[in-house]
Amino acid sequence: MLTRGSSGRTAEVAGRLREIAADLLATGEIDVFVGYEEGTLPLRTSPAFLTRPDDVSRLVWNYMCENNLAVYLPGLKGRVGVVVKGCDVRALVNLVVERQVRRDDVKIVGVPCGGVVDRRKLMAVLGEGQKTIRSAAETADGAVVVAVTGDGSERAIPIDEVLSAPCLACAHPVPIVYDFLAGDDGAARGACPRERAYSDVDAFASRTPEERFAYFAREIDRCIECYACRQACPLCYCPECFVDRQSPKWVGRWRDLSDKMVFHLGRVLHTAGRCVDCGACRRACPVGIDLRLLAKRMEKDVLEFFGHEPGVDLTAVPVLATYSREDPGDFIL
Amino acid sequence: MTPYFGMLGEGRARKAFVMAREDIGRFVTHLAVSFEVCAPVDEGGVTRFVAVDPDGACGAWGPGGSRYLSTRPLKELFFPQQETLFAFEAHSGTQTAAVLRAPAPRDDPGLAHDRGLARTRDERRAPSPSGVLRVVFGTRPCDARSLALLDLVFDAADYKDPYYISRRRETALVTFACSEPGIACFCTSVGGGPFDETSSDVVIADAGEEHVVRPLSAKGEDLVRGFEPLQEAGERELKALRETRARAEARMAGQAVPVDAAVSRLGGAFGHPAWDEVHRKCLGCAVCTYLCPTCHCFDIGDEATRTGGERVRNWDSCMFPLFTLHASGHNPRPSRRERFRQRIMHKFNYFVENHGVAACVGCGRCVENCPVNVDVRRVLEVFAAL
Repeated sequence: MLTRGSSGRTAEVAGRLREIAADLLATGEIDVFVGYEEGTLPLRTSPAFLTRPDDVSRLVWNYMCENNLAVYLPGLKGRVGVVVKGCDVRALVNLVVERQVRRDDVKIVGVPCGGVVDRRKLMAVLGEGQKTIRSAAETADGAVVVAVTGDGSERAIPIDEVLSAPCLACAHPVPIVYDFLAGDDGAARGACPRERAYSDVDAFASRTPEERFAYFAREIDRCIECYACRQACPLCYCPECFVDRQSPKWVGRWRDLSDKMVFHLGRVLHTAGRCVDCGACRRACPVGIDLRLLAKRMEKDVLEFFGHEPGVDLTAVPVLATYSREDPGDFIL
Repeated sequence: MTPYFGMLGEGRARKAFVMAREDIGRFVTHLAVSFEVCAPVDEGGVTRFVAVDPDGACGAWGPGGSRYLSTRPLKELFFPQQETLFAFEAHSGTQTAAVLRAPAPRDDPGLAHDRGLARTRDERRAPSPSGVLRVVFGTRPCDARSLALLDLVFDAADYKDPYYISRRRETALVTFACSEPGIACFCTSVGGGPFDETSSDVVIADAGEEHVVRPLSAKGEDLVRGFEPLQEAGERELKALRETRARAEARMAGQAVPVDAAVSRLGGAFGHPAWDEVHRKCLGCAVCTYLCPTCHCFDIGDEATRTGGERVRNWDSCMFPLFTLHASGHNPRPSRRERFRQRIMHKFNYFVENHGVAACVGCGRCVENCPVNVDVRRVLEVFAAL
C-alpha cells in the first residue's frame, strides 16, 4: 500500500530513517524528529513530529512524501532532526544562510530522491476525482498501482507520468548537505541537465505578451486568498506578510484581479534568488493555480544575470542581499 | 400511502416520481426556461457552482454521473467571498456628506467571485408562485444541510442578514442523494446522511436504471410542475432506491467519527495539553475554513476613493493572525495553537452551546484539501478519547 509502508527501495529508506531517528532521539542529540507518517487518505502522507524513540515505527518513506518539512524549522525550538529531499535541503540551506535556522541545531537526514507524485496529474490520468480511489499502492519496479472503487478495477500507471513538474526538472535529487543519508544515492532520479530545466519556461516565453498575460490572469483569477502557498513555503517566514499590513494597505478591500496579482507577483519577487522549486506552493493550492511558471522564470533570470543558484552553498550571500560591481546594469536607462 | 424516503421530512408525504437517467439534461433545460440555473462546473479541475447555459452544460452531473462534491462550497452562492453591502458618494463643499446608494452590479469579467452570484437579474423573469428565481442544481445533501446551519447565523431571531436571506428566499435546491459517498465523508456522524433532505427542495436519487425525483416543498413543486417525463414512481423503482440507500448508509456506517463523544468532552478541554499536539503540523492557511460550507466569519471594511466608496464584506478566517489582532498590537490568539483550537471549538463546542448542533456537515473538504493532511476526524477522535 502506497501510504501503508512500501516495498523495495523505499522500504529500505524507511527502515534507515527509523534507525537514524531512534538513535538521535535515544542519545538526546535532538529534541524532536520531523519526518513523514502514513496519511489518513490514499495517496497522502503527513508530517510527523516524534519525540520518543518508540514513536519511530510511524515513519514512512514513499512517493507521496510531498511536503517540504523545512517549513517547520523556523518555528521549532530546540534541536531538530528533519527528513529532507534534494529540494527540501536547499530551502533549509537558505534558512541557514538567512539566519532563520542555526545549522548546529539541525540534524539533516537526507534521502536520495526518486521524485514525488503530483496528485492532480494522477487524477487527470485517472479521469476521476480523488474520492473514487479507495486505496493505492506502489510497486517495487516504479509503477503506481491504483485501485479504483465501484468495479474494483486496478490501474497501473508508470511513475514518470505522474511525477511533479519540479521533480522532472530537478538538478539535485541527492541532498547536497546532510548529516545522514538514508539510502543509496544511486537510487535517486537522474539529475535534469540545465539545458532541459527551463524548456517549459522558454516555450511559454515564446508566446505573445497578450497570451501570457491572459494565462496569468486566468490562473490568478481563481485565487481564493487562502494563502496556503505562502504558508507552505519554507521561505515565506516574514512575521507579517505585506498583504496583511494594515498601514499602509497594499491590497484593497475589494480584492479584484489586480490585488491578487499584487500578492502573487510580490511573492515571486520576494522569493527571487531564494525559491528552490520544491513545488510546495503549487501542491498546497486548493484551486490548482500554476504558481510555478513565473517563479521558474525568475530562477532562470537570477541564474543568467547573477550566476546564482539558490540553496546550494552555505556560504553564498543571497542575490537580493548583496551588490557586485559586475552585476549587469543593461536595464538601467 | 405514497412511499416516503426522507430522513428529515416535513411529516407529510409528498409524491415520488421517476424519470429516465437521460432525462436529467432535459430537466435542467426545463428549469432554465423559468429560472436562473446554477450547477457545479469544472474550471481547470476545480468544481464550483456557477450560472450555467440553458442548454444543460452540467450534463456530467447526476446522482449516477460524476459523483463528487464540488471543490468550492455551496455557501458562496448565498454568502459570497466578497460582496458590497452598500456604496456611498462624498459631496465636498463646506461640508462633506455621504449619500448612500445601492451597490452597482459589478460586471468585471476578472471577478471570478461575482460570476453567477450577484449578476443583474433578468427582468423578464418573474418569481414562481413560491418565490423561486434561481435554482441550484446538483447540490449534495451535506451542502444543502449547511444552509440550515447558516440560517441559524444569518436568519436568527436577533439578527437578520438581508443579503443572505434574500438569496436564500429566491433560491431552490435540487439535491442529488449520494449513492457513493466519498472516503472522507462523515455526514452521518454530524446528524446528516447520504439521503438527508434538510434544506433541499427536490431530491433526485439513483434507483437502478432510473432516477427517483421527489419534491419536498412548495418551491420543489414549482420546479417539477410541467416537466412531462416525470411519471409516478412504482414499487419497483422505490425498491431499487431503498437498496441504493441501504448500500450508501452501510458504507457510511464504516466511516463513523465519534463526534458526540468529542462534543461532550470539548467543553472542559480548553486548557488541555492535547492542543499542543493536534495543531502541530497545521500551516495556518485558510483552506479548511474557506472551503468549509459552514464557516461563516467575515470582515467588513470600506474601499474608498476621493469621491466615494463601497462598504465591502469579505470572508475571514480564524486561522489568520490578523483575525483577532487588536489595534493595540495585542493578539488574544497569538499562535497557531490558539487559532487551531478556535476553529475546532467554534464548530464543536461554541456552536453547539449556542444552537444545539455542531457547525459541521461532514463533507470532508477540509480533510481532502489540507496541504499537510490535518484531519478533523482524527482531532475529534483525540478529544473523544480523553
